[in-house]
Amino acid sequence: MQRFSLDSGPGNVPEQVPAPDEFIVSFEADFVACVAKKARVEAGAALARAQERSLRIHAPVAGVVTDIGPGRICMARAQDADDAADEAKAPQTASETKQALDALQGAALAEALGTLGVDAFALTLPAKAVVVNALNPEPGMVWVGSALNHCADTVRAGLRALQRLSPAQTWYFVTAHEAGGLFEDESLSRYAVVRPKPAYPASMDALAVKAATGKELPEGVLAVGLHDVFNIGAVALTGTPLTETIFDVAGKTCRAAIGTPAAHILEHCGLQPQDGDIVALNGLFRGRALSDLRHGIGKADISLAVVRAGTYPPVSDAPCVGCGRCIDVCPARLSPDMISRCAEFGLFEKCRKSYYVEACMECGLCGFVCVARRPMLQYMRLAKQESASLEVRS
Amino acid sequence: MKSGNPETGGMVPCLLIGESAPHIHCGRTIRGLMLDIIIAMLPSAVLAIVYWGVDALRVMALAVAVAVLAEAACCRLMGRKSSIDDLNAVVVGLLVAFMLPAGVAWWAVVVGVGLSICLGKMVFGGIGANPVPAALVGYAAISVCWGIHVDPDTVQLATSWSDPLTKLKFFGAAGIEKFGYADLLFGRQIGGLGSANVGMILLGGLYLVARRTVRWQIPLAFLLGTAVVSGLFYMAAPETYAPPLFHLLTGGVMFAAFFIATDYACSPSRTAAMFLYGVLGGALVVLIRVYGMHVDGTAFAVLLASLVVPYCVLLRPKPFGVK
Repeated sequence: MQRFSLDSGPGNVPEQVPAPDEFIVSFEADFVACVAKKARVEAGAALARAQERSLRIHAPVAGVVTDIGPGRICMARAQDADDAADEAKAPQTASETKQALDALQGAALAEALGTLGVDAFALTLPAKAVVVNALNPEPGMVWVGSALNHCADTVRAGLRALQRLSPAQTWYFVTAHEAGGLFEDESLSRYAVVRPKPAYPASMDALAVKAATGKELPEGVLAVGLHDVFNIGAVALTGTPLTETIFDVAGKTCRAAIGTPAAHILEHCGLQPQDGDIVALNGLFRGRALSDLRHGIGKADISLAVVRAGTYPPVSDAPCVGCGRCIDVCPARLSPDMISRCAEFGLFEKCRKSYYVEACMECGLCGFVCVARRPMLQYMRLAKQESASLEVRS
Repeated sequence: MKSGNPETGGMVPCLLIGESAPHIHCGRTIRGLMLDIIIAMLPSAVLAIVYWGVDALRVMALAVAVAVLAEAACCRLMGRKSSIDDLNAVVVGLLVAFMLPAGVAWWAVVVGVGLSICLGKMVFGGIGANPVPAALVGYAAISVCWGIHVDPDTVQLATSWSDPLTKLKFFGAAGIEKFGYADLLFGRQIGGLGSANVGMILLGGLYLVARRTVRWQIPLAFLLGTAVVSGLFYMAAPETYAPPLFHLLTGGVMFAAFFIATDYACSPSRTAAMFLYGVLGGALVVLIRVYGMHVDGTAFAVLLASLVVPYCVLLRPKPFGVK
């Protein structure tokens, strides 16, 4: 098999993770809770809303709010809220909402999607072309194959809504999979399917855009991940608020209600973390290590993985030996060795002016190959952030 | 961090590692690379012991011991955690030993290796920070200061073999007629105890290239540089100058191409820069051999080529999307 292959084949039918007893629904900093502690909420009721936008986040099941903390609301599932009750989310209203959504366009559609829990505001910005990035984000992930093959209706609904959201004229669909069947639908004939060599880091947005347009960082081109399209499609297809997400757990595609704790999902998949393990959220190359298994899965989360203790040499603050492996693998043709050394000593101005750190795509390959096991991606992110803030100040 | 909640998740609380991404790794470490280099040096080391007996073993063992002790002492003086377990000191010690003749005096080994570790490596901050290959610093110092004690011609007396480069230097092309290429390839020449076993060095070098421990571009460019420049001389006056293959199979050329010029810290990493650096080093070897006072100019050629590496690395492509 090809190294870092992003082609996961057809994938499995997404496996439903049963609802847990406790949900932890996380949201961004600009959200305010719209429920009180101990309040009883129905499934699909708004739990919190954004202050400036119409964006909301909804209760995945009927239950009682047990705690409201910074950035998260905990709720306990009501004992009487069985699956049948969840299904009966007022089908009448849902189909009306669905019809209303079908008629909307542009900013109005983004507003409406926001009230149903999908953040689509960025997609309405002026753009000449839209590139849908339908490559598995990282090697080992399979959910893209599952979504394209087993949830084609949802993806189609998302792609259709995307055409109404964005003012773009040109449409690309970048994938590693046989996507022919997806576009038999006449309404999607404007999408041009692009199939680059499916090896990481081809799934970086910047590289997907290059594969589609042939240009590096062209202006007026918007990249949209398939996960976002899928979420839009889920809402557009049902007319109900977004309370479920699709993601990857150790090479298996699962569906779970938003707010399902990582502990519950891992237990369902038979992956009990032990002392010293790493639980990586959203990818082994780029994701973050969870410190708390009570992290509720969010609507943008795409994967959970467990790395057993002792599998890889531990990260250290060793100096760079200059072996140049990071230079070989860098898709942005940068010198991560020099950038990380400059970042190490706080020379952020140099990172920007001499080494163009802002071109870094944060794929994490430099850290993957570093023989000194330096935290390369962390240095790159630090250098990017610090040099960007230097630029703002100057 | 206590994690997990037996009441809610039903999981046993456990301590998770909060590490920065990426959470996976290719598995290659500095220690692994150094082990590869040591493995690549083994064939030549064994042949050296076959040819020179316990003398060769003595030099290699002493060099490694001094290197490790010197590095441990430097780390202690610098108030740092000892870095000897990355095996780089062992490699530097062996590299110096490979360039010395088997009959070299013990104190020359101690001084050479000590200088390589202290002045070649640790004074700049340890592995990765040296501006020139660490092993060359000590070797160059002792061969300049006490040349007669390091010169294979004066040290390696109890043998019928001779140094082809000395013959070339003082007797011209006529002096090298008795050397067959097979003799040179199997190391039946005097020179560095390890570096003269050209065939075994090539074998080890190819192993390093196959394992991607070193890049193929630098050795290839280095050998090309030597071959092309010596070929030009040979074409101009075959009665005065040696053929290119003679230059490739004598002295430290093969050894430098695979083991010295590929030093990670002071060699470039991009193709164009690697070729420029390699060709420059290889060409300098021949120029020093033809015009210089040294019989084998390899060590100094690599030292000089290392000094232009900061300029070589300016040969780099524009980053992604930068106009």
